[in-house]
Amino acid sequence: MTREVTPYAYCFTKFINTKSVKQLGILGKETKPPIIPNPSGSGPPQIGTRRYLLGLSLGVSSTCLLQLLHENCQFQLSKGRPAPFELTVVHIYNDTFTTPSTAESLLLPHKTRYPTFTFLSHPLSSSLTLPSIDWPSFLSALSLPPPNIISLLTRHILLSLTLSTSSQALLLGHSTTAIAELTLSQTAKGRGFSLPWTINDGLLSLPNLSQPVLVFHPLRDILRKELVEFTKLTAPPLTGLIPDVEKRNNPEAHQVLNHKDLSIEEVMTRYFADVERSYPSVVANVARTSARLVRIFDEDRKGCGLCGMPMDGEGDERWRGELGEGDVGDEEGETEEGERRRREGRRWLCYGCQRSALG
Amino acid sequence: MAPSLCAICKTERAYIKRPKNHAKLCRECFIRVFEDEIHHTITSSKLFYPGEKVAIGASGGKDSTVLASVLKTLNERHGYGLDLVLLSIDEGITGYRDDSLQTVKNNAVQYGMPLTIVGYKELYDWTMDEVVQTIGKKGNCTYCGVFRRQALDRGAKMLGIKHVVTGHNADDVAETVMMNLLRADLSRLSRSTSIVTGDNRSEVKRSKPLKYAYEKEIVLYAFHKKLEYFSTECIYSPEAFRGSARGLIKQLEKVRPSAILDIVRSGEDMARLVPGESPSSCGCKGQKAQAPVAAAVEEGIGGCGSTNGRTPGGEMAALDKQLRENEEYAELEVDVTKTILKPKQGEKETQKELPIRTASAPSKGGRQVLGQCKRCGYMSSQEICQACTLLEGLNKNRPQIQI
Repeated sequence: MTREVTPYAYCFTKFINTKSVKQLGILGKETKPPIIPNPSGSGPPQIGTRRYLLGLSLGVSSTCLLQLLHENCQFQLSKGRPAPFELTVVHIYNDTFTTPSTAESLLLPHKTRYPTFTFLSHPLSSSLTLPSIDWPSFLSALSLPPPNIISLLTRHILLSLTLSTSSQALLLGHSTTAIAELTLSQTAKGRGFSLPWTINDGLLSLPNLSQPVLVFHPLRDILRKELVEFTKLTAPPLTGLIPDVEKRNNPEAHQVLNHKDLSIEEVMTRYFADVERSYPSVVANVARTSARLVRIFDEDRKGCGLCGMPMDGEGDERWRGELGEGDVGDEEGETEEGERRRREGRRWLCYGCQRSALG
Repeated sequence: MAPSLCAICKTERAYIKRPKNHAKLCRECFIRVFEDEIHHTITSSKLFYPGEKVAIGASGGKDSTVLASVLKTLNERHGYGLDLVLLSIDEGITGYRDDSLQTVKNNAVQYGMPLTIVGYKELYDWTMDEVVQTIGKKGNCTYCGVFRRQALDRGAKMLGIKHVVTGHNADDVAETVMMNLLRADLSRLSRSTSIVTGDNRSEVKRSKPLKYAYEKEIVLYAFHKKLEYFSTECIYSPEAFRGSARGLIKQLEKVRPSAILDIVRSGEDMARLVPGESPSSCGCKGQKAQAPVAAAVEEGIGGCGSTNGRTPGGEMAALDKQLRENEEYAELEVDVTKTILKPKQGEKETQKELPIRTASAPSKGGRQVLGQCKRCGYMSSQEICQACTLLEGLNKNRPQIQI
């Protein structure tokens, strides 16, 4: 099927469904249902139901994934089989701007529409208590977490919630386009090294994580524009569940007054919206290829205090020379305190996190 | 408001806001810092050895002019003991190269460096003007890029020189990283980020001492040192450099000035993640004297000064088309190996099964085996090198043109 024409709704939803079911099938094989003790207290232990955690950003992709997981469950139930999995849906909200009650109310329509799933909203500030982030050293290097590490903190919370809710896998809604964007934006942020940990499916084990977590991206074979189309074709449409749906679907539509105000992610979203329209296969190719990068992990290396990636002291040292840091004055008018924080940061943070956190 | 003072000397008035990190510096400190950073690159990557004879690939453009000037300065200041010469390629483009070569000739006098000019005409019996007459303006950059890569090597060999330095800057490398990600070419990605290229077996190695220098700072350096350079873009590539990756990088640089070096850093790190690559992060690790060397064949960071790494929209469209066709063909593929490979009677069934290529099979990153071109002896992963293949096509067309 070519990916350009707007097809007949039935075929199209079927197409999207098949693509996600294929990935969910792989996930099903990678996870084993948990063994639970017999509720009667005696007798052989029973086989429980798989449990997954879905990160819901309320954007197009994760909402589509929620719908597709729901359809998958309903299909199995309609055949008289048990539900294939239990799902906990978590929305992480930034409690600097949003109150808990607002966050709760955002999830109300979802709860009504998907009564079989469990919904949670979780504040971003809960990341402050996570053991997987080395906050003491991080905060000694930095007074306040800057906004551009929010996605990192969200990821930490989701990983830890996957463990604490005894879920067997964390599901993320990234589309092909999102993975391609992530590939290039991580590269632009100096985080190229972390790509295999960020976009690959499979067991994610980090030095700062108490046990490995299985991370899965079931929509990795579907383009964003296809998901946008899908949101309009379900009955009822998913568009009602997505705040600012028009804005999200049309990143290029609103004018940019000053390019300096954009984030690297926004630049990438705009760029790929364009590439996706004209050259969809290029987008798919980027996503497929970056997934081929392998993780290298040296046991002796300590993990970055913030993102948990293995640190590369030698490389960072050499790079400070290339960056013009070191013997040359760092920042104009930098106080002693600022300089101390910068030095401290270098000891605890990987290159990418230093760039994000210390500038 | 009082004029701000230079962040380094704290005495002079700051004139320059560095594009790299927005530090405010005076003219002298900027020039000094710029040179010091290139000195750092040269020493940390151990690019040269004392007494080495080095050819500077000089086009007359800003990058190579700055490179020549900086290397001359550093060679004297730090006593590298290098024997520096200028090596220029004359593509035979009237109205562009003849003018820029004049600039190189002036530079040669100013810097007191001997200059050698190698022409496409003498090497290939074709000037670029003639190539364009034959194949038209579209796609001629391929010819020029392939020819130039060889021409520099051949020129260096003629002079008995084993090391050519080129003026590729951080923007060029960042572009190549992004381009190779966009066209999903991991093996090129892993090769193109090395500061030194050229296989150990090849006689001439290449390096890019300006790899970490911002294009904008190179322009600033040339301006403040009052260097003479030629700034006209090649006349045969008028639209080519509004490439996809270049536009993206310029936007990223606006958002975060460090983005260019961050991309270079990511590129270097990712090179280690490509299946089958060495997992060392340090430029000198495991190599006592020299930085690691990557094979330079078709490394993709070459081409001409103006189109280097930049892709005209056409290439992206072509790639997209090809990928789509692959997808279609993949659906039609039938595995016939099993039926063909039935052993003949009496033959032992020891034959190896042919590997069946599937989409999910782990690729080895398409590593090429380096050999030599059967015709010209230049290093090549194919039997006949790219330049000879292109020449063959050109020569076939020649008689028709002459009639």
